[in-house]
Amino acid sequence: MNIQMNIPVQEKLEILSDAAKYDVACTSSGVDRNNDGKGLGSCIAPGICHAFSADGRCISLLKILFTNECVFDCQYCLNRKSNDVRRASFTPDEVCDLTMGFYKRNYIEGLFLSSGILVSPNYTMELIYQTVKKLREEHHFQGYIHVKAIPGADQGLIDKTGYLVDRMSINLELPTAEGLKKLAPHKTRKTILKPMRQIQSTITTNKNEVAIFRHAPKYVPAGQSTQMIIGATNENDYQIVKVAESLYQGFDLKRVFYSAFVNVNQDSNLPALQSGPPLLREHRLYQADWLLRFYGFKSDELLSEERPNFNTLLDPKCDWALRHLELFPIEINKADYHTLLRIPGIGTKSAMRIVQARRMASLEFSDLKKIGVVLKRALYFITCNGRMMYPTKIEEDYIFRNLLHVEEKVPILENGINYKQLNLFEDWGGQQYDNLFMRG
Amino acid sequence: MTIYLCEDSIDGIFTAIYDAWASKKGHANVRIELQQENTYELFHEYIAVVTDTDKALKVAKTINDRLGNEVYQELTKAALSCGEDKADAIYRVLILGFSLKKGNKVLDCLSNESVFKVFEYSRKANNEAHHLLGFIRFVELDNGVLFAKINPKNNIITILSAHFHIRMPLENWMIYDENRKLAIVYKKETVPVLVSGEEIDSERIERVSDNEKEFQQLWNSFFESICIKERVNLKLQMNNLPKRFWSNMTEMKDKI
Repeated sequence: MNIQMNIPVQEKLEILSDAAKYDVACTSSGVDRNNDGKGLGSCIAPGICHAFSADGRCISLLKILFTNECVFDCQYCLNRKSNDVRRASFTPDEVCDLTMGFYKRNYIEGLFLSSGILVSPNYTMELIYQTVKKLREEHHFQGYIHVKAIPGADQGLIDKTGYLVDRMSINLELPTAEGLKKLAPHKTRKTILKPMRQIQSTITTNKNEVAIFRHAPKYVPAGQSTQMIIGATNENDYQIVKVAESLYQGFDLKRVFYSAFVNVNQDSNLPALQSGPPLLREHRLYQADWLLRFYGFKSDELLSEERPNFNTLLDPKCDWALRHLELFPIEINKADYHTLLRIPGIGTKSAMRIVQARRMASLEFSDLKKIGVVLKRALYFITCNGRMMYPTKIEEDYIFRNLLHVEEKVPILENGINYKQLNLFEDWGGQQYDNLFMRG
Repeated sequence: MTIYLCEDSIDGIFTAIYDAWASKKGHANVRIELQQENTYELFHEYIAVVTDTDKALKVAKTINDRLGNEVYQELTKAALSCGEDKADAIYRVLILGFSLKKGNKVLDCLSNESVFKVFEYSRKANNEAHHLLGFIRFVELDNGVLFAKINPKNNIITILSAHFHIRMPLENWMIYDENRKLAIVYKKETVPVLVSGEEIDSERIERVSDNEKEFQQLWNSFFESICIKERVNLKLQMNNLPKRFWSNMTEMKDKI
């Protein structure tokens, strides 16, 4: 291990942000808090993006590790004990000065503090606690703070920290217990789920306290989140979505993040990704995640044992609709909000606007366009006052072929790479993919 | 047709609405336009509106009383937007709103052309304001004042100032809209003040605090190292962060 003393802050920041960048959660959402007039900072519930790095991802928080020294040896991780990388550790004061200096200049919305395991889980958690305590109590920082709870640390330490921060997260790391066993020998599913359960129950208790005593201190007000690495082990999409669904239902998680696996270690246990990280797969999982959280879908509606992976060519909602043509067309002026949400091309905002606008006047196709409905996609599935937009066959192959021509806004396509090429590039972990080309 | 030409401000537009309404010429016979390089048409009567805060306040109060504060908020945001025909659209929405039984639902009538315009314009102003809440960058001057320059399409400086007033009550700060020569000046523990028509001394804002350069460097190197090289996607970056914001951003201005 290569430990240097007295590294300048600039270099530490480079090392410890580089080491933190594979953590995807950079949102600053979930909590509204005004400044009390005695410090610096506030929070607004939708969150704020402050910059976008060259990979197109949002920068909202100063995302750093406290230290990248680590006693664990997880095979997918850049900071694993057996790697020969530059090591550095911040001091609590350095983290505070960076956060305050960046926040004042409006570079960031707050701090995201994670860490390698230095000495022991308790030792590391204590360092994180001391840092956020200093930031909150000495610097009177009132912006957003997201910290990682260290699996294996005492509940008392995690609880103390929880009263100082807005969000806490524990990474699930890999979607299944077997994957974890294979790639992260020092971690077990149990040590990860146990603190997740503790945080959940403290959040619930705290909500009751706050309901009775309005000024009771708030515990993790923006809730907890987690993340899974996608494509390092050979789970299928169905397994992953199932895991996410049970985390939302069983653990009240606010967000589950998916992180396309980037091979940083060339370990023989890890898949070699000829074509780079599985970005399309990650994108489809996020689309499905939205359908679970905001559109009332269940994982079993989207995928099944027989069809365990997402369609590469169509988004999960179009794909679902094509398999359920018996439910369509849906009358825009009559269907309730939840039914509207199931129509391809209609999102939560446009569904809400439809419900509001049709109280004043019955809606025509031209109105839907103004409201923000993507008619190119929706037109096969809807009627306005009993009429479809064009005479169209309600037939799976016909609609499928037409939908393929509707360009989908996919944030991962660049430099003229199209879908079909991407389909060939993607590494699907050896899974046989439901190839819709065969049907068209 | 009588055309009322008004100043491009909330007060200006509201005064014109007051005058047009009070003229009793009939709504179909009047139109409100912004006073800019108008091309005058034949057979129209043009009236230059003199902005009058009392009249504007009366209009604001009526909107609040009869259509509710939510509608009022949307209308003022539309009035701050860059929509060229916003003044007349707001006027038409008011006519419609006052004729409805449930005036507070007037903005739901999206199939009405003027309502749709107001909806679009207020959304535009809102979106830009939300973008700038994140993209605006303060520079610490040698007297400790945090200074930020913006060049927004919509006149949203007051939305920004409300946000930073809550966020940074113990700092001295200033936001300058270069396009409109408008500034918000905030002295700590007071209230933000809007100053118009002042040029900024460009040499003064070059005199920055001792550690300003250091923080800019720290931020720039963080910005580079946080990027995952395997995922570089400049098109996505540009979609999320439109180029017109870059010139005022510490980490982007050298990339133009």
